[in-house]
Amino acid sequence: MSYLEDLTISKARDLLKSGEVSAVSLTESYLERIEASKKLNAFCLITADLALAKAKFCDSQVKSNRKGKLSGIPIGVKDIFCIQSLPTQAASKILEGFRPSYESTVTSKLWAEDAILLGKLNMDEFAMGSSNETSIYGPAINPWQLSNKTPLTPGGSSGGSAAAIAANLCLGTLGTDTGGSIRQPAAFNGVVGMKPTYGRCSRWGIIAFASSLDQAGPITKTVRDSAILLEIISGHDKRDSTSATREVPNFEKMLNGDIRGKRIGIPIEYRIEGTPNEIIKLWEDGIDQLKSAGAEIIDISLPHTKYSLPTYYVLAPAEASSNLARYDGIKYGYRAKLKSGEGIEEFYKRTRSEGFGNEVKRRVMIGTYVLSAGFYEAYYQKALKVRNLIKKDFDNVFSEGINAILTPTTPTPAFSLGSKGNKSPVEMYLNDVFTVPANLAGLPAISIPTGLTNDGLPLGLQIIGPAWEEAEVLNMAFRLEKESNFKDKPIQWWNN
Amino acid sequence: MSIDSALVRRIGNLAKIELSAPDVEMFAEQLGEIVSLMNQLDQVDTSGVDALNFEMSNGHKNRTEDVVRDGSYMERVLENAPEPKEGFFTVKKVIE
Repeated sequence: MSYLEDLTISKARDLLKSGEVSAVSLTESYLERIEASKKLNAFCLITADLALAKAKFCDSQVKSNRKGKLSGIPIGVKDIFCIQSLPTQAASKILEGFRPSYESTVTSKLWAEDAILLGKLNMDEFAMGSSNETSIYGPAINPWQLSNKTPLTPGGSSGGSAAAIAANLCLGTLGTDTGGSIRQPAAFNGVVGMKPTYGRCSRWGIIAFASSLDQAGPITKTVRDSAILLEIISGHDKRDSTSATREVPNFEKMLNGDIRGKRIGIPIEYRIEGTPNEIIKLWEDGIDQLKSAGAEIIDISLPHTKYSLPTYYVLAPAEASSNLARYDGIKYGYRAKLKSGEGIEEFYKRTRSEGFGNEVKRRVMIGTYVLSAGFYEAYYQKALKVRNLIKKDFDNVFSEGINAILTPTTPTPAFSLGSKGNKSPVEMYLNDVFTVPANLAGLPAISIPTGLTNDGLPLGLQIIGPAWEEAEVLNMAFRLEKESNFKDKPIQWWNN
Repeated sequence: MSIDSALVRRIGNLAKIELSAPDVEMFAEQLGEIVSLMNQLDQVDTSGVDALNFEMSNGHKNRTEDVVRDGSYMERVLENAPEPKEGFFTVKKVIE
């Protein structure tokens, strides 16, 4: 088992290629680890038989030279990706029993390269949440612990995807990021999470939350692994008209760690009141590390930053209320039982009332409100205009020669499950303060772990780049990963 | 403006979500809080600013031809339906 501890996608690729490890033995080892980690509740579905059958296939291809780029690599995917014939319910009761008859584009790209699916990963219901607590499966648990052993949130919405990487239950996972749902859990679990440029990856077959913000992306142990997975899932798809017809660079090949002369912006508006000193210190350390690697550090201003959260919490619910109108109990999923004499109106309302959790209901109702007659101009149109101003702030600094922006990923480390947002949903929304702007502006952004709090919890820094400059963002993250030399891992308290 | 019970009931009706009396009370308070967050947008001067839409963001202008590419798989379309009958979805009676 020992070689597994430091295994990454790139190392496993070499071991599988040289024949030192077989796909079957690697898959079996990871399935054992998953079985022994039930306390983390990271996986909501384990596909052991399918995984072993695929592993046998990968091993049989060893000599034929027909192996895919991810041949034999064990992967988990968030429960929001449609996987043909397998339960897919975005952690919602309303999709109970749903088995899609089609496969999402990004997952089909993984399987075409012979990656092995180990199972599906826990998340917030319809990706609406920052703590995994809105999941119908109950929350995934963060593998990292404080000395008092209180269960901590893995973050959200891709909490299961990040926890599975931190606990080494698979080598790579896919998440989705609408307002920080890849980067915030990556930061809370001490792993790497990348949200690509809007349009870099196809959204086809991903259960929709807010279509103008949603993007799929990898959560991995290293920046190199992030580059490997991102390259495979990127590219144009005829079935998603918002996916870009751009060439996909060879992201892994472009990782050379040379950032000399690069101009890195430090936005003053991200110095928000109440940010813990240890997060400010982490940020300052990151600045020093990039400086000593030859980058130029420049103070910048993104004046509309503070309006990102209100803009997001108008637009994301508006799009969600429209996207989630399809869940009506007729064509698939949960259907409420009616009393005699009740009609179609009760049918829709009861199905949706019983099928959606409270956070989803709140967002559908807020979205309905801001799109309704009399409020559309004041809220929805207004938010689209402010979104434009937020995007222009970024356009301005990038056009002045800034290559990337460095910020903390989150305003706090992982918090205790049940400690936030019980009475006040807005308290939970404040988690997204540093991550939402990149979604609103459609920009690529990565979170990488660079240090621990005094209490021993991981913290992450975020690098935001200009649209389509994932290669630059990854290369900067690659250098920061090397400079910060974060090697800590959680103690394995969860083994049965 | 604040969110009162009547407004919550109206929104619930538009959103097709059944709400109990305690639900209405809880959501009135919570939605009110979210609306206060949203109201911060009033501080921004947006005169002369265009609304950002999909096509403005990153220049996507992809269009596909409007042609039928597949079809004839009724079973697949119906396989997730809660109570399919004779090749159809079933719904509640909508006319008296």
